Amino acid sequence: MLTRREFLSKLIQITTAGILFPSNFKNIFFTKLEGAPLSDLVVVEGVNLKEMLYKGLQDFGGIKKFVKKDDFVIIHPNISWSGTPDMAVNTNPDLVGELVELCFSAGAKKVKVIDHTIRVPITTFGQSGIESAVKKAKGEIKAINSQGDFYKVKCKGTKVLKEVEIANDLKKADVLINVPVAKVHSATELTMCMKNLMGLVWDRKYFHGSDLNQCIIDLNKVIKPKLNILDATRILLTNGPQGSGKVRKLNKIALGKSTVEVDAFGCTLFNIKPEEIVYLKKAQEQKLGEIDINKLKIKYIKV
Amino acid sequence: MNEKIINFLDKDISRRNFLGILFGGCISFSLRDFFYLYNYKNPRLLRPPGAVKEDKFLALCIRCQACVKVCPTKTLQPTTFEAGIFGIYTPRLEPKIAGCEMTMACAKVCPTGALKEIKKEDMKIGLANIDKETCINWKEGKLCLICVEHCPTLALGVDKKKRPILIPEKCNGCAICENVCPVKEPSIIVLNIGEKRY
Repeated sequence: MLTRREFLSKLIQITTAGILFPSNFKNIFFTKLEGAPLSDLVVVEGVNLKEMLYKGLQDFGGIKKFVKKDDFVIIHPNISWSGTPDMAVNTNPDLVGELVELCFSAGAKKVKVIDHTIRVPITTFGQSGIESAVKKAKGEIKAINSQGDFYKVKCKGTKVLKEVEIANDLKKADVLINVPVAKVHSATELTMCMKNLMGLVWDRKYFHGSDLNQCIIDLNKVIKPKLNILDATRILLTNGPQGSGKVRKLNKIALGKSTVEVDAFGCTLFNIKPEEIVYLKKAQEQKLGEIDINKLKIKYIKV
Repeated sequence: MNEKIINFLDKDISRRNFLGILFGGCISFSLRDFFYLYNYKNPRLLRPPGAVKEDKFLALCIRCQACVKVCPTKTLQPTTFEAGIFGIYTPRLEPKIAGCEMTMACAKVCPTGALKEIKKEDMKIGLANIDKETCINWKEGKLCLICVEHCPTLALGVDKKKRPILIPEKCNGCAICENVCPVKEPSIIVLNIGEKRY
């Protein structure tokens, strides 16, 4: 039992500490109470994708932190190219499948997997194996390849992109989960979370025709996924993003809330410094996120 | 010479006649494409992969539009006058709509053998040409490279200054690059140079 005197003195100590060092105070006392993430990024290495996803999300407070009951969840993987899973041009089908299942287990009402595919969906959906994986998990999959699937939004605080047509489903969705695959890219050097959002846009020619790097950053100001999961179970090292090229198996996934920060980590997988990628460097300058790996709190887990 | 003709040549031409000739000339000039019976030389006429030689093709094709209907990218469209009057309603690629993604669905449904079933790797229906005067990569130094990204045969490479260059041996003329080019009049166009016919 505390005596009254002890109680009062402790109270005074704590309040003075709080007033003098507000940031420290908040860190010590409220982090665990609020369940705020302990790290910005979680990198999980392993083979069992189900366990990897579960363990990785635990640090953020589990999938229930992102997906609430009766939510409409949109998952946006990369299903743009025609290639088998081992060619590393599309997202790992097992990862998408497990994620759909996980969302349902958290109580999601509807889980929809969408992408504006580059090749025709009959080949990409089939060859990538994502269609069967999603259907097995009882999710819905749709190629948003006609202009009717998009609606116009006006952009605020952007530099080049003033108006952009993005997927209708984003209007109704509660949660957007971005699941790109890490690849090299002919124009932007690398393509990961930030660039993957172009799969939710109708007019991509405008992006290339005006200023590709700035448009990618502007798009990231408009569409903000709640969760980003970078698929680095295998990465494409040459001839990206189309394939077929050299593939390296890494058996890793990286989870994070910010597209920029996950991408910054992704660069290290290719042995490239994040500052060398133009859109990442510009994103940091425009205060979209931190790209210095040493300043990010990264947690490594092995499963 | 006939007296009448001499009289006609001596006279000044009337305004009515002059305008009539001008108007008639304009119309017939604009319709010049329609008066070809055959148009073998049209470089923009891209036939679907596996097409037999043009004269045989025109004879074999019964204009059933089966290939046009089955094409998953909808790039196959019936011709109007691109192949001449005798070629009306035969299939051709329309790069404005899409490029050929080599599903080879057209050859599978062709009932008369005007389209032969060939392997993906043997397809050669044309050759891309980069117009360095209008390409925004070459002219303005912008980073576009959308054609390089989309080329399915890796026939488009990048030089040291990050500009697209063509490797002609690898190009099969699928016209995907022309479809994706963001310039209004595409800077990369596909002509049927060196097409393989069976």
